[in-house]
Amino acid sequence: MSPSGQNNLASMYSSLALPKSSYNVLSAFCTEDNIPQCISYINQEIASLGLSSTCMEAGSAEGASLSTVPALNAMYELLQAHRRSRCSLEELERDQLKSSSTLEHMQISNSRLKDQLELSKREKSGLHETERQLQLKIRTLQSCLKTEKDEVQKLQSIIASRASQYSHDSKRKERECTKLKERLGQLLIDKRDKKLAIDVLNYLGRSDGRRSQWKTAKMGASHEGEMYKSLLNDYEERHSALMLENAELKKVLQQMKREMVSILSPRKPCSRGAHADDSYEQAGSDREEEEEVGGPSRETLDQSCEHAKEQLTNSIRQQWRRLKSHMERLDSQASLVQTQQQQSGKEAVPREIHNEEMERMRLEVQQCKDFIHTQQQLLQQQLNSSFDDETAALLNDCYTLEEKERLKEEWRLFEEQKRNFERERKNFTEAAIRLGHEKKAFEEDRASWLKNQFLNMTPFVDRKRQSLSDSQSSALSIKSEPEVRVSYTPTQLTKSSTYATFSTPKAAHSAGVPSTAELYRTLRLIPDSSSPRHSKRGSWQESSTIQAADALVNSKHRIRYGELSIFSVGKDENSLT
Amino acid sequence: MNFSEVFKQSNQLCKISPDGKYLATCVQYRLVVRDVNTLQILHLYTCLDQIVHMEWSSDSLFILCAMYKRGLVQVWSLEQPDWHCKIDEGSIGLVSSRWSPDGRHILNTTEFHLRVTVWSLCTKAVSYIKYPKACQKGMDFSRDGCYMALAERRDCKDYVSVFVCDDWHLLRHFETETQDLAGLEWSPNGCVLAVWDSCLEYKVLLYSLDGRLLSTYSAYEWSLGVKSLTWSTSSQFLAIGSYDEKVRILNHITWKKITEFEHPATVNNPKAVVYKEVERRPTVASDDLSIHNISMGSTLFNTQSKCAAKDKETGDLRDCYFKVMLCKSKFGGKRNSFIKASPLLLWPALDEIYQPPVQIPVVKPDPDRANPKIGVSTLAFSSDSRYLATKNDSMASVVWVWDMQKLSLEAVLEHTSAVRCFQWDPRRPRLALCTGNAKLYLWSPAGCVSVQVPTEGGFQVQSLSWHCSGDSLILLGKEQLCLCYMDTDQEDN
Repeated sequence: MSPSGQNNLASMYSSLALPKSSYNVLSAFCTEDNIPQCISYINQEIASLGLSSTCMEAGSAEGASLSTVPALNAMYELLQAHRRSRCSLEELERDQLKSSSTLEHMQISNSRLKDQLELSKREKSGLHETERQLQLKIRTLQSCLKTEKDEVQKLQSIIASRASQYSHDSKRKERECTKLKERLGQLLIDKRDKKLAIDVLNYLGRSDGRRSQWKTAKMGASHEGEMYKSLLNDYEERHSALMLENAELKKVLQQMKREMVSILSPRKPCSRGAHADDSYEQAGSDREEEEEVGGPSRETLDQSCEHAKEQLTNSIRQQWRRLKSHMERLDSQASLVQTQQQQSGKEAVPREIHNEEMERMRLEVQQCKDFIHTQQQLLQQQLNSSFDDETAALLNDCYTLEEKERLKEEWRLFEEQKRNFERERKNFTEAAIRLGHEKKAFEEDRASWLKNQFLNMTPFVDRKRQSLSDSQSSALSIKSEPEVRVSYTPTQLTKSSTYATFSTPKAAHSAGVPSTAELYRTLRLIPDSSSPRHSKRGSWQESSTIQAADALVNSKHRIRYGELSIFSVGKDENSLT
Repeated sequence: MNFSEVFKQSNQLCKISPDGKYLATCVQYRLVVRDVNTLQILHLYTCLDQIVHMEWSSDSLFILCAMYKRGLVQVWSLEQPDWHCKIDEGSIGLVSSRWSPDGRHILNTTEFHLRVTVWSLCTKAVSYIKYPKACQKGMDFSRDGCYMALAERRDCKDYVSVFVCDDWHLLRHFETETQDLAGLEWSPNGCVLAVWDSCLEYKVLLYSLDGRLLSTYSAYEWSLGVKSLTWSTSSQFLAIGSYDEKVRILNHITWKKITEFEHPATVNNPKAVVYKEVERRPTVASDDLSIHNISMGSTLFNTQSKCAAKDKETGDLRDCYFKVMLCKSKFGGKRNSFIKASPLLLWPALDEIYQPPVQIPVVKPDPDRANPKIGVSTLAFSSDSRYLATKNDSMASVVWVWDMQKLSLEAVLEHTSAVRCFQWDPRRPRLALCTGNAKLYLWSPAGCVSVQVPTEGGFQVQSLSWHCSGDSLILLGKEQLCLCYMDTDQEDN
């Protein structure tokens, strides 16, 4: 829609709005008087608007009446048109607002950009200016530098010329000076300066007491000689001092070398294990070195010898290198261990290794066992299954041989045991015989004792008793005791016998048949009741001494006796309690 | 430690005879010879004019007195007091006079270094040596007195002449590779001659006795070079002090540098001990009083001045406590007064021992002036060559002591004023120094001591020299002198 249209609309609005607002006022658009004019006007207007203007005309004939339908239609259309126009107007207004705002925005941005442009332009110009200035400066500085350089050169040349001038001048002056001096000297000499004199009361003797000598060529030569002598002395002194120092240093070197060798040599095996490749070489050189070290006297003899010196230093160097490498190795090892330790805790490391080792060994054992097992199985299978006779025979042979060996061994053992038993039996029988003898003696004793008792009643007791005790053996002297203590009973006696070192026949008798332990004790195979507390060996020795008659005493027997002795001791204790 | 009374002297001319028996002092135109022990005057000689230079002959039998202005040298004998000898150099003038090592010849250097005149006292013979060079140290006798090296200048070239002192026979004459020879010095064993160039060039040349060039040493170029040079008593080391504030030590076998000692403004070496003197004024009145008492007293008496009582807040009793006593002379009938001061300021008298790093005061030299006050100007080895004492001119109040065994800094002695003079004990590793005040400073490996010289009227120690036995020291003031006796056995009171 063109702006003119808009304007029309606006005017229409205003024209429409005005009458509406001023309807009640006199100057209204339509009054009772001017209806037809109004109608016609409206018709015209409507027609001008492109609507059907006829709607109004129908009623125009009758004056004020208005045909409603077309009027309403027209009105409706007008309203519609009005609404549409309003809508479009609103839309247009909105559009306008939008566009205006965008326009404004654009304008602002435009202005800003313009500003920026201006600024950058200004900046550019400024930079251009500074560049120009800088270039100018550079130019001036370059020129300055050039001039400075020139100056320096000039100055240097001036300095050089001045120096040469100065040196020249100084030389000249010096020459002049010397000339003057000479002249002065000459003049002074020519003048025969009377004052120049020495006035001495009497001449002095020389401080060394000698008289002064004439200057001769010989004197000069002797002076030369003196000088060289003193120089020579000095050199000799220095030489000897250096020799001394050298010797000292050499000694230190030797010692160092020896110590190095001693330090390094015990490490050889381990180093060989660790580094097989260079250890051989090392060992070789070591041997060389040791040989060298072996002859220190030789070294000292030709200490000054160039060759020996070289050798010494070389060997030292070698040793030192080796020591260094060794140290480095140690260092690296240490660092490795450290890192390992750092990785896993301090205690965990050995345990882990241990566990690992254990596991490995267990595995190995298992493997071995399995291996054996399978071997056995295989053997069994081989034995069971039908295979060729030769191998079977061989195997059989093998087995029978083994069996035979074992049997032989067992047989030997058996034989030994048998022999032992035999011996024991012999001992036993001997003991029994002895016992029998003793029993017999005892019986006799008893008889005699009864006889004595009987005779005691007679008045000749004392005499007979004495004669009897004389005739008795020492072993049986105990019997005199019961004689004193008449109230003794046999049971008491048995008890006392356990205390006593010897088992008396009386006790045996009272016990009736002697027990095995008692028998052994009698045979002194076991120590008496007090001694088992002591060392077993003592008891064995005791038994062995007693059993001197028997040729062999087996270790087995000994053990057995030991066991027995313990057993018997227990028995004794039982009896005691 | 005892101090003698004060004697007069002039021109700081006071020397102990080489045998250590006599003390010769000059007072104006008089020469006074005393016994060192009793300080009694043994001889008194009168010269023709004010004595400018005095020197003992090597056998301690003669004394040379030179009066340069008049071109006169007078020689006096101790054995025959009426014997005299007068040498007149005449109109040619005299700038230096010295004994030859045999004590029978006198070497006079004439004005403008025209020549060196050798006067024999045995034969009256005169010989001339022409073209001596005027330089820092142009003449040196070997320690055994056999040879003399003399720097010469002919045709704008440096030469060295070696003479046999016995009969002044010219043994060697050789040109040196120097621009402008500044000095020469024999090694103590007399076999090597060190020659150094002027400060414009760092160059040290080592010549054998027979004139062969043994070695050349140059530490750097294009800068001021050697300032001082000294041999160790063992001839083992050659110490070279230079303008770059360093001391370089050369060895005697390869003549290469062993080490160099720097003199930094900040001492960082934690092993070095730094002694720093701090001004702490004890009450002067009591000192004066005690001295006054002594001067008044005619009989033996003791005066004790305990400034410490007054100075308690400082807390340092040792710093200001000393005892002064007048005692009778042990020698002869004549009463001689010794002023005994003991116990003196004891270790560590130079105040607290500082732990490095310590800042040392440095005076920046004026670069526009010639001979700038910078660089190592003084070097001295101890008698056993164990220690080296050095002084850097830009730190004039500091003396550095170096250990030659460890080749490291041993001690730094910082004083309140510039060190005037230092000298090693000829027997022990003990260093005596003075700074132009009334104190004597001693350093030994055990520590440091400073002693107030208990004399009247502000005795300022300008210079000092040891007795050859190392038991006593001569302290020289401006117009006075006094002897200081070191007592090792603490004989107190």
